[in-house]
Amino acid sequence: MSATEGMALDREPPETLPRNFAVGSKLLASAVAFFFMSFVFAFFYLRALNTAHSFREPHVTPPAGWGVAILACVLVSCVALEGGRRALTDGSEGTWRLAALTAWLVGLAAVALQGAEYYNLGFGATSGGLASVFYGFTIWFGVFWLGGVYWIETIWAQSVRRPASPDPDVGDPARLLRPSADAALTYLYMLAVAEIVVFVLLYLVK
Amino acid sequence: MESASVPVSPGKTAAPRLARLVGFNVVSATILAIVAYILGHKLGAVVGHHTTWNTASDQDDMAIFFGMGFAILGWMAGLGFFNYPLGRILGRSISLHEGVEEGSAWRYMRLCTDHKVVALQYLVATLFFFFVAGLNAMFIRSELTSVHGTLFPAGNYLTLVGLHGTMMLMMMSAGVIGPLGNYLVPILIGTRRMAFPRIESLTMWLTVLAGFVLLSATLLGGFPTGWTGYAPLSDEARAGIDAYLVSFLLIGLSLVLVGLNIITTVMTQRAPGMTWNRLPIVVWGFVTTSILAVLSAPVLAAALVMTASDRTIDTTFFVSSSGGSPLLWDELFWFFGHPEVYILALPGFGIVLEILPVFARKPLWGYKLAVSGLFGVALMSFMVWQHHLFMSGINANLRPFYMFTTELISIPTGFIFLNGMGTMWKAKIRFTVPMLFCMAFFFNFLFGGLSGVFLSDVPSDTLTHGSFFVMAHFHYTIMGGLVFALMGGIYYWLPKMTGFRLNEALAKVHFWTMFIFFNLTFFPLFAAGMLGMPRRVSSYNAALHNLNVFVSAMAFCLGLSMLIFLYNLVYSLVFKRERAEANPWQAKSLEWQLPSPVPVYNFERLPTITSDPYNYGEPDAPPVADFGRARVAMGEAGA
Repeated sequence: MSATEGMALDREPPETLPRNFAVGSKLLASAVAFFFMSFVFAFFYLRALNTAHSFREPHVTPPAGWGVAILACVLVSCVALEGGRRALTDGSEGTWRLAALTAWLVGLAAVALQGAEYYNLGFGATSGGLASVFYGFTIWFGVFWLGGVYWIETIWAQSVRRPASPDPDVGDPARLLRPSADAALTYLYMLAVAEIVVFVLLYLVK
Repeated sequence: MESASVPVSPGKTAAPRLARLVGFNVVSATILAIVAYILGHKLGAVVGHHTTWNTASDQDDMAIFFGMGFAILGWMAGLGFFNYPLGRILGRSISLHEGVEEGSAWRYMRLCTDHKVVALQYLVATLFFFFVAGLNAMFIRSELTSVHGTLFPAGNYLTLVGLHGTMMLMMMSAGVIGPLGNYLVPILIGTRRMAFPRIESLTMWLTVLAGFVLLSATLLGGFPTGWTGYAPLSDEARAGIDAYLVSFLLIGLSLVLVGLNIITTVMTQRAPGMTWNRLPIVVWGFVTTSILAVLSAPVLAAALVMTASDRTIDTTFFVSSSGGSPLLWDELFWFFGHPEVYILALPGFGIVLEILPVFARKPLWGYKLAVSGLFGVALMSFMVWQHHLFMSGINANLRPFYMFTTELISIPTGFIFLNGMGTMWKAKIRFTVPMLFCMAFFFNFLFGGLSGVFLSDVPSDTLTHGSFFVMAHFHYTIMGGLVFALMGGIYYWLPKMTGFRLNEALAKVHFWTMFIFFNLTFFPLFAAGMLGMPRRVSSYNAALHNLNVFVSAMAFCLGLSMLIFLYNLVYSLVFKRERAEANPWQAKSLEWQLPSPVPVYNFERLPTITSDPYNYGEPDAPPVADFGRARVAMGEAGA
């Protein structure tokens, strides 16, 4: 017989999981910020050194139109999810589902646009310091953003399916929709800030 | 506090052995990782060959990175780490428990959300790689017994040095916070689990994979960069450096996730009454380490992926002829690298300050000073990294600032010494093995710290840079400090973790041989460094031959002391098992009030904390916690 068989255990306080999501997502966002700050640092460092006068080679001009489209998708996705979160607070789960689905689809569109941009750049990764930062940042932003898109989908799927939880410490999963959306938004907002900063550096700074 | 209670579901019925073998476990993971590597390598070769923008790159690197990327996915799939995320895509509910089967040894071979199982997995894995890295050190010292190195070609010697350094740094980063952090934090704060149990398990298995990936560097031609991976050498090196990059990336990811998990757990899951002022000092050590891990490891990860992209898609981050700069690596690497030193040191500080009051039978002297010291070190560790670049051509005007901040960091470090000395002052000390290791920690770390002052000082750093003086310094801080603290922690907590006692006579032989031969190995290296012996070179001035032969002989004895430790583990835990008492040290902290080993769910009733755990010698001191009406406690806290 196992040590705890037949015992009755205290249930975990119900506020624990939402607090875990809130704190964990802020820490994750911090880690992500430091990751992308390295690319921002690389931009300024290499720009200042401009070794072999090759930081920005003459033909390296990231197409601003693509950049604007990608940034717009990122922002729309965040705004849609924010709207969904507020709808959840108001108890309108139907609106939340629609908003989350929108955020998810527009988020995927951002990744698709980034892929399309690579085929319309006119320069390769070998074209100096700016091109390196451009490729490095955009590839990894895409990876992290896809993680955010996955996160949105899981929350949306849970609200659609409404499963019963097998875990007594979790309780009713519906109560976790709002904290989950909050946590995902914290992460996505951080990515959006990184995208805005790097958009200015890569597309606008000459 | 939620008062409702739920019955514990009995462990799952044990599946037949064969069914378990083909399920999600380390065997399946290994097979899947190998198959996935082969597939990924082939795909990578095709991508590298057919992609027009990649015509100038080394296509083999692309294949290796694809192979390793696929192998990581295969490893995780084999262990079952994709089951839950895929279920979540389909809308399945959040769950907190997986693979927790009481009494089953099989749970140690797979994804398991019991933090105690993960901690023991961590301990076995990190000790294994610790011994592999130690074996490399023996090879290095063997090579240095002759003036012109005869055992290994120069390139292989560099690979040995790199493997030793990288493996030690990687495994020691995970080696304290992994086993002890994961085991102790939930119990010491009065909860049943870590905040994110699957992530906790993931970090353990990523660490294991990182160790094997790093070892695979030997099959890929080795790497010449040492643990620091400096550019442009890393851009130009053979494929072995790919293994270095991937393994360090895995450890970086693991560190971030461990840190995130520990901070979240401590912030959100403390038992009622566990105020910040009552938090055990070792938990503060893990929290400050975690802050460093969460903020510094992502920068390392970014630097590593930059190098990987230089080697695959031909970006030029570190290529000075194409708009990049090798110094960019130095900046990014050391922004992680110096906090990394404190990622190693801070849990060591926490461990010794936790153990000292138990054997001094006195309250911890200056608790708040100790916490401020830990935070001071953590904060300042982000402000000193450029002292590693004093000789790399940084702007000379920056040197005084970084010299000053580096010297300033000795103040919060000094707080920890004050706490230790204050706690031991006029105490009736019990010279148990954990206590001996803690006292040795202070002795060794003092030498490490004082020699560090020479290296933070620009003029003396100019003389000693790249010499064995630096090598002796960081071995005194990392091995003399962290490893001694870790050993103290293992001897102190292993009876609780395993439920079995370690042989004390063997433990004392281990301590004394390790302490004596550690100092006889590394103290002479200060002299070797001052006499001009360079690091990472296998041939040296003939005048230093006798000194090197002596050091090598002492190093072999040090290696022997580690074998005594290993023998003790096997002897006491496998062949001559003796049940450990619940509280053999008469300690007051929470973990010692539970049975040994601790039950799966830690506490039947979540405790209410009523006191800090350091009120030794106070006859009227209250108990550390109220365990409610059905106390699981078996230990007796002594005064």
